[in-house]
Amino acid sequence: MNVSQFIGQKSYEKIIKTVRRHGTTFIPYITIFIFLALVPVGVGWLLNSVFPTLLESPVGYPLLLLSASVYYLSLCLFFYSYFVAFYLDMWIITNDRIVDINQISLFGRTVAEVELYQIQDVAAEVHGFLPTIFRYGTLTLQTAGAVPKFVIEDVPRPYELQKLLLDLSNEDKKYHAGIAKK
Amino acid sequence: MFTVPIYIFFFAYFIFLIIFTFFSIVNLAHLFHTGAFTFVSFSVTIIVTIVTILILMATWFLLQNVDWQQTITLFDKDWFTGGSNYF
Repeated sequence: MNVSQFIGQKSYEKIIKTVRRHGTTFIPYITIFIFLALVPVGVGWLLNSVFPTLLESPVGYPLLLLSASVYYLSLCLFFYSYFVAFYLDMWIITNDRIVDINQISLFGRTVAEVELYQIQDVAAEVHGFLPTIFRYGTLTLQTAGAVPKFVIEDVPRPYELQKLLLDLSNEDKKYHAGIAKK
Repeated sequence: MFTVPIYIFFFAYFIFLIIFTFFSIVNLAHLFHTGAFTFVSFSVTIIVTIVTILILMATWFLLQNVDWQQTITLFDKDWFTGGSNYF
């Protein structure tokens, strides 16, 4: 399946851009996982110091090894699950609407959308040291739709995206105004 | 005294592997289903797969010579009555 099928792309609709969170915002997760991967090394060293015969015992050795294997495999799985949740948080901008896909967890997802002609205001905010260096920030959309406030967090180049959304919104408003006149 | 052979833990490990495989497939299915299988997600999938294979191979290699018929005592009333030499 591709993005078009997932969002139920209309015949006249064109996907302009797919926006995901900036990669820098995933670095804290990587740091935590590296730290967690080092924990068994410390525990192993501690066990070896306190119970020197434990790692040589015919029962303790396989059990500790199986535990370590379970721990590292779980770590891999959690890392992958975090990555998928991070990567599936995305916004698909078309010439008609914005589709917000929010992957909350492995079994939880919300999909919301706003029509471009309903956008009343777009505010871009870059706040903090890392966001300024790596150029990412938050976009806040005020809309006249069912969802009055639409927030897109940690998007790369928010000012460029703000301009793009305002331009697309103006185009869509002209189109809808034309339809209304007819 | 309650003792179990250590191959019980090996079976438990296999059950864990089945759960691990199930959740990994769910993650992959999410990527396919949302059309998010790009170069980045493909690369991360490959890296995670390689690391998983390395962990499984290391586990297999280090456990090759283990005698799984050995038993482990999970409970012994002598631990509390002082009839054992352990304490």
